[in-house]
Amino acid sequence: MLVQYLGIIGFYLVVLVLLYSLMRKLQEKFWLRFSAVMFPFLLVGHILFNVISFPAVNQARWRLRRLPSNDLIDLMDNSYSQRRTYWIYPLMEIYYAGRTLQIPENLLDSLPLSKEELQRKGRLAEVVPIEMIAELTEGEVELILAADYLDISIDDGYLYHFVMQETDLDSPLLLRRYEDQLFFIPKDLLPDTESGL
Amino acid sequence: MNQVLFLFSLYVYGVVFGLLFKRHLPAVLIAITGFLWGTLFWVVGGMIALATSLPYTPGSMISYFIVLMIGFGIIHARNNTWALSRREITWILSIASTFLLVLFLASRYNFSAVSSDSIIQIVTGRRIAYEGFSTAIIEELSKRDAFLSLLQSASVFLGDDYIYTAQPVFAFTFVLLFNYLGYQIVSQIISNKRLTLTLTALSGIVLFSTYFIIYQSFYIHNNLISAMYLFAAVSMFWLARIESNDHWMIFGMLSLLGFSLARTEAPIFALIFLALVISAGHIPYRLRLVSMIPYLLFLGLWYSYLLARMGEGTKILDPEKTLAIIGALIAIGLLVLVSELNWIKRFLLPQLPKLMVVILLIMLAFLIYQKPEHIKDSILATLINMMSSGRWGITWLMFSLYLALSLAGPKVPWEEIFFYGIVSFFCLILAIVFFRKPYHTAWGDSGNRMLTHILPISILYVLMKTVQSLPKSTNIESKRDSSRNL
Repeated sequence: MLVQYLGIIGFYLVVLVLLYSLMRKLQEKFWLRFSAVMFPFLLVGHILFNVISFPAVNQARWRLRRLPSNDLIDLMDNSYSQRRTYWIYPLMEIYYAGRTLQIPENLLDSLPLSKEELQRKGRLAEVVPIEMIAELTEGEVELILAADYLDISIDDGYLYHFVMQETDLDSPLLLRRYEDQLFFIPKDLLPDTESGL
Repeated sequence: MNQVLFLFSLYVYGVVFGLLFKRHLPAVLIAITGFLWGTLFWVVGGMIALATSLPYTPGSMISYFIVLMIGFGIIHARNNTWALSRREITWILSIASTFLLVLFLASRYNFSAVSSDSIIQIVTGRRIAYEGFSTAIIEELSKRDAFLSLLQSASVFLGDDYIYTAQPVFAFTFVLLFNYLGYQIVSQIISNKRLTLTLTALSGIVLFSTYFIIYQSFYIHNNLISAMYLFAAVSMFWLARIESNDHWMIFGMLSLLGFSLARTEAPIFALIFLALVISAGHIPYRLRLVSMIPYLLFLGLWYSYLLARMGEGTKILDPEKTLAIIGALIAIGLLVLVSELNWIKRFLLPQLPKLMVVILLIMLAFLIYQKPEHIKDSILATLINMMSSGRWGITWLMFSLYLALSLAGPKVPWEEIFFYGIVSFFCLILAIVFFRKPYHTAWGDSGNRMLTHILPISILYVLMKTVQSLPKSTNIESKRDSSRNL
């Protein structure tokens, strides 16, 4: 690991030895010249380096950029760190706190989310397993995605959708799946319910 | 907008508190540091409320601030510290309005950046607002401490997802603070105001144009906050001694508290600097007791509370390490108490800085002996991060060179706090890695992020050493000589 940095270390040591030799030779004059001339110029050079190198450094993976909104989901979506499953819980708390979540039994086993954590950290009123429901169809997904929603892709392999359209707050929330996408949808927004989409 | 108003209220609150000291400290400094004290009072108030099972709600926090404000108001009325000169009003209003503008811009242009760690702190903050100090929250606080999470908890009260304006505003405060305190310190060494201003400003621009510092101005984490509080503490301790103005000590101790609450391992670093202050022996014994004992007591109680609630603890802070921190706090507390004894004053205190560094070096040698590969990898990773992968640009490369040169440079007044402080800091960074996985080469590595805490102090130290030898400079010694001659 150190070998590739040997050049820099060597150069650094040579500069240090040279400066120390100069210091020895010039004695007090060295510090006068260093402080009055060299140091301010070095600082100016340093600043120029910082300014010029900024665009190059900021192109890396972790760069600064303006977020599209002040929502937590956008902050998470613009993060390059590993996207953990537990990020879903605070989003549940922000979007659906106090609501009842219904999870089809056939989804419970394969779900990366914990039922208890959803209730506790997501601050849901209740998490209720319900009888099996088939996966959403492509047509249903198209209809759901016509509503207001936010989504985030997590490293557990799922794309999570949070459907947000104004609904009756007493209406329970339903978790549905379509392939590797999970949808949190207020039940009264589902296409097959009375109000429909 | 809620967030802008909330943080500005904290700022105003901090300024009102600072004005209690306006007869002894400059109004500009009070205007600059308002946000430091406002946020610190929020965090400390929240910690006390939650640890004592008082309600932690917007209502209870507003009541807490109203009660404190009434207290400050009474003191202001008694001491007549409300009366401000036109010049003071102008300064305070200019800085406050710039602060408000920065807050507004930060809310309008959100450049926040996060890592997994940041998300955990944001989420912990939100959960604190609902759950208080539940067992799960205590576990999180044992890893990352309370400051940032408690600040983030306000997002629930404000109806926002997270606090996104605080980090840029901390950075803005830091820019002002570095330049102001740097100027104050350098002008104690040389009398040429223009030169002082130029060199301080250039050093400040170097620091705040370094990519990693710019990045951390938007990166929601505790390192930039820690760096600012530590820089403020060390600078104020130095000014307290050089100006023989005890009031700097109060602000210095508050800054040290802010630093200590930002990260779990921070008290160990803070105690090193505190021991250096005690060793200098310049602070009157009564002030030592009044300023240091409450700080040590508060931290001791906080860590005892964590110890009582943490169970098995975490990898970062388990009961053994917590006990070690409490032990160190008690040891420094005892040192404060006995620091007036004659033999302590004569024999122990003058040698304390050297003794501390020697003990740290022996400890480091022992740790290297115990886990040679572990420490070697950490040293290499830290060096490589400083040189290339830590996103520091050439800043550490240049300043480590200046630091090496400075060793042979002219001595500055009370150099010990900087020299021994910096050396001890690096020793401790390497020592604490013994208890965790080795540092690695990446900007996000905690060892690399902790370098942020010491960089501003290192830059200031180099600046002081450099100006000490400027031609025709009037340094403190010559000022003293001339006053003696007069």
